[in-house]
Amino acid sequence: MNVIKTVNLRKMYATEEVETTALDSIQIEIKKGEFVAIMGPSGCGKSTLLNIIGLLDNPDDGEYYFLDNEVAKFSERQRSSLRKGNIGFVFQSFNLIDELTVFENVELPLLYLKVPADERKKKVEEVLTRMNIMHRRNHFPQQLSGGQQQRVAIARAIVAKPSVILADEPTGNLDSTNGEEVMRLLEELNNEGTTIVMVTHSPHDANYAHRIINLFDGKVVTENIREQFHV
Amino acid sequence: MLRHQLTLAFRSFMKFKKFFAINLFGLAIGLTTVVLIMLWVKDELSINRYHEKIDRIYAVMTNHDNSGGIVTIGVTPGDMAEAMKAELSQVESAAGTSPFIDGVAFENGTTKMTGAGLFVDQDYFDIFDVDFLEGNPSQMMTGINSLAISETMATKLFGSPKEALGKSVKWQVFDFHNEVEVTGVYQDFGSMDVDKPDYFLSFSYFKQMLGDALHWDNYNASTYVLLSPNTDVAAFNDQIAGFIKAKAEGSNVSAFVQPYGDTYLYGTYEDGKVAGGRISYVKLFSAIAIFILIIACINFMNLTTARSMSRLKEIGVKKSMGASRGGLFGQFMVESFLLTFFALVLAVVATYLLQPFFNQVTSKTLSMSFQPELILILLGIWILTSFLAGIYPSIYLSKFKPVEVMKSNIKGSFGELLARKGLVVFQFAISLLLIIGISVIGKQMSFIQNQNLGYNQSQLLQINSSGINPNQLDSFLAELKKSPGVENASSLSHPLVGLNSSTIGLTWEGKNPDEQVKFENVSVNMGLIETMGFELVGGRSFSPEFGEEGSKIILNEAAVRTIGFEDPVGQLVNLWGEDKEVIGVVKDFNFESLRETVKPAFLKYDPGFAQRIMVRIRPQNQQEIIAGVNALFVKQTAQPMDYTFMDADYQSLYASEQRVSKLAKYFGVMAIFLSCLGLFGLAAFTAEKRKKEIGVRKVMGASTVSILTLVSKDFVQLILLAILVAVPLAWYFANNWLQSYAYQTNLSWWIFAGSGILLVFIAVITVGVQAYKAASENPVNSLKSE
Repeated sequence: MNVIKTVNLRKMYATEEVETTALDSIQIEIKKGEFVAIMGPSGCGKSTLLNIIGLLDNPDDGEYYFLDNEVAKFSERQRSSLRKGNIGFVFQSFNLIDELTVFENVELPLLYLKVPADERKKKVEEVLTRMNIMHRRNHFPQQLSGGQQQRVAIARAIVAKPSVILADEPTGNLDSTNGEEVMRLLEELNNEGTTIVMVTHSPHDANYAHRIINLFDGKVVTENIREQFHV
Repeated sequence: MLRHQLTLAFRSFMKFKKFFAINLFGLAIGLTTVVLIMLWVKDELSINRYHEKIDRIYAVMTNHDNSGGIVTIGVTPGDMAEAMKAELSQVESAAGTSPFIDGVAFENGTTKMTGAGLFVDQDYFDIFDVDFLEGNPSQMMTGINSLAISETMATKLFGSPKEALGKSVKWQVFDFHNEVEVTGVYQDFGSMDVDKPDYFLSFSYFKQMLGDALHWDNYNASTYVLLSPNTDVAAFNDQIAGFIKAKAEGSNVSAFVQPYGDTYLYGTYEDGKVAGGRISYVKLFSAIAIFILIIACINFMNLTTARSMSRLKEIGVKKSMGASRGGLFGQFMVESFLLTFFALVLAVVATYLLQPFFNQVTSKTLSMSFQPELILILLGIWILTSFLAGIYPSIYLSKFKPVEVMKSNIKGSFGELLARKGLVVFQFAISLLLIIGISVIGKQMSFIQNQNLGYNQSQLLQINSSGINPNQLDSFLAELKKSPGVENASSLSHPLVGLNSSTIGLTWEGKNPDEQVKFENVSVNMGLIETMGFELVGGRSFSPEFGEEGSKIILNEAAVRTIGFEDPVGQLVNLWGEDKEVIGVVKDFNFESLRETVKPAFLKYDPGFAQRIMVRIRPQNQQEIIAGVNALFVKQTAQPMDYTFMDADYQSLYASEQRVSKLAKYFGVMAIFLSCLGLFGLAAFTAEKRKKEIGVRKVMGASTVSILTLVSKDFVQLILLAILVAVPLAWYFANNWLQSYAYQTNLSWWIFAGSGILLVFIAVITVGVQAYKAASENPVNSLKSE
């Protein structure tokens, strides 16, 4: 089963003088349970693609099927409700909310899903324990190291048990030890069945994926299958 | 979710302390003003309206169709109440009352005091709520020798209300005196009443006092009626329009009723119809309150949207996690509600602290008691302000697309900039409007104060003659004149300021008999013209040298113009059927507010009826001179004199204008302060946003001055635009307001120019402080942080 499927996806960026094609005729299919890495030089359209896959943005042309829904023309409201609980995001810069504690940051997706308070508490504690950050639950993001912050961000991404995790250079701001730990966590989640799409510059990180999609100037140039993936 | 939002709002406040403080104090100051004005307006709106039957109580008004137009007064013939009750089925109760009479001397054999009050019918107590402590309200004025007194007066005279009941009291005013019995004691009137009578005497006795003057052509009483429920008031007014004409042949007076509750706020009449009154001040201040609230809310909007960059991450993260636009909108509204709540709490505390001061300025006794009504109003203010301040930022912030937010490439759209700039222009336009308004009111007030009134107001004492036996008046005046420091002294029939005794009984040869011309009627003693300093432009003054002066009359210039005499001295006029010879003409003197032109008036010699004694004193050692005059007065009457300075009396004609101008000054300063607070915040934000640009420019060699210009330029442009918007509006309003004065100052260009320059100056300083800070910073700091 395809979790993600795009047909001739196009995205343009226009300024007053120039029009840039960010994505051009992108055709990709990602199956449930796959771990896919998207690679390519700066400005090749990796992040644009990830944003569209993550339902944060609409393509200008083409079709996009997310869990078999054609969502290319969805409004922000429709995308928002589909995003909720289905997609977890992990960002390079963590994007934790500074004014919220670790616990509250992780709790956020559950709030939007209107999960009852006691259940929220249980789930957040569960995932914090798993991420080995439970002892920091009442700290604010600035009080944590980069690695700890990213573990919190991952905890937040998975707390609602989404079917897909989108990671945008998850190790980009981390040293190698912490980066390694984050990658192992993602691999572990993937082994449990979560589909993972990761944008990365790092060939080392890409090695964790089943498949690598290389983008150049908005086009898919190659797809390397690292290991056979079975549904 | 709400808890989450509250926590987040609270922590966000703590993180951005500077913006939080500006927003909080800005809103608190705005709300304090709003709450103060609200208390004042609430008080104004409730005056005279507390009576249980207020919906059915009406004051009878009369329209006098004179040659100069229709004059409307709340005065009726003395028999009006009795006749209306007898002849009109809709009238359930009707009460006649005398005018408010002050300086009535009371004594119970041991204690003496003076009081102010009314002569009323028994029905008065059926119509109005008077809170009796002692006595039977339904029997209060049934006897002609009844007296009801206030608790204070009862305590002064007898020690307690209980003691007072049934006791005998003597009273005296002018030539009239009587011995009466205390039939009731009532609780003192309070702040909800315009008139606060110390006593009620019997209206039947007042009618006896009127004697021959009691007939349908004379207006000397007030009439209040209680109409039966569901009376069609319009039809009733049609019915009573000719009521007086039917009693007095040839009368030009028609009657109508006005709801009693309205008489306080709607006391100005034009062409026989209600045309407003104090209600215009209520409206003006309500408008000012709303404007100030808007200014404070604009600060909130501007700062919150300007600061939105720092919240983009939060918005983006939440949206990517599935927060809907509605949810985020709710979150920002919660912040607005929370902040407004804090501001309102501060405002309530500030209002409480400012109350004594505010009461002094407004001459009211406002107090904040937390009754359900007030709490409801505060709740309303809270919700309204939160919405007003929060709705735009909430819409603005919640509409960001997550992908733009995450990429942090939001650039201020043109529309957004326009909105923010538009708000700043609006704020400053209102501030300028207020500055110009205040200046014009101030200029007109000083114009009035320096206007030649036709007599010398200073060092002129006006003494209430109550207590002086009319037979001994002349010897008392003679004694006064001998007192050290007294330059001159005389007496006249009633207070000169706001003269209110007019007659249509003056005729002359060649007068159109169908036309009724009103003259102010002043009865004077020898030497009054000299004491007042009226300027004679022809003929002579009253003087004992010429023997009997009762058949002589002196006109003012306006009267001469009205009559059309070319050579007035020596001409004859007829007053109430008696010929009088014109012996002199005085220059027009202002006896009313300068809103009015000087009306025709005459002075006649009649020392018998003298309510006021005028004393001209030397400017030096005033205290001693007044003490000397008082000693003579006490010797004569056994009570201290009740006196005022003529110039102060005259000023009191403008009490409401002066109060308004004083209040407007405070509120104007408030508006400017708030606008500048907003500008300060916005400039601080701009400087921060352009920190890198400023750094780069400095590295390239820009001077501090050029940076200063760079940051200030945009704001100064906005202020100039505000001036362009505000000046025509201000001119229009000021001109309109001045039209209400017969004598007006001119709208000089420098008021507008000066106000504009002041505004630019204040704004430049406000922005300049921020700009200078940004410009003088070491460029490395700003570049490093990128």
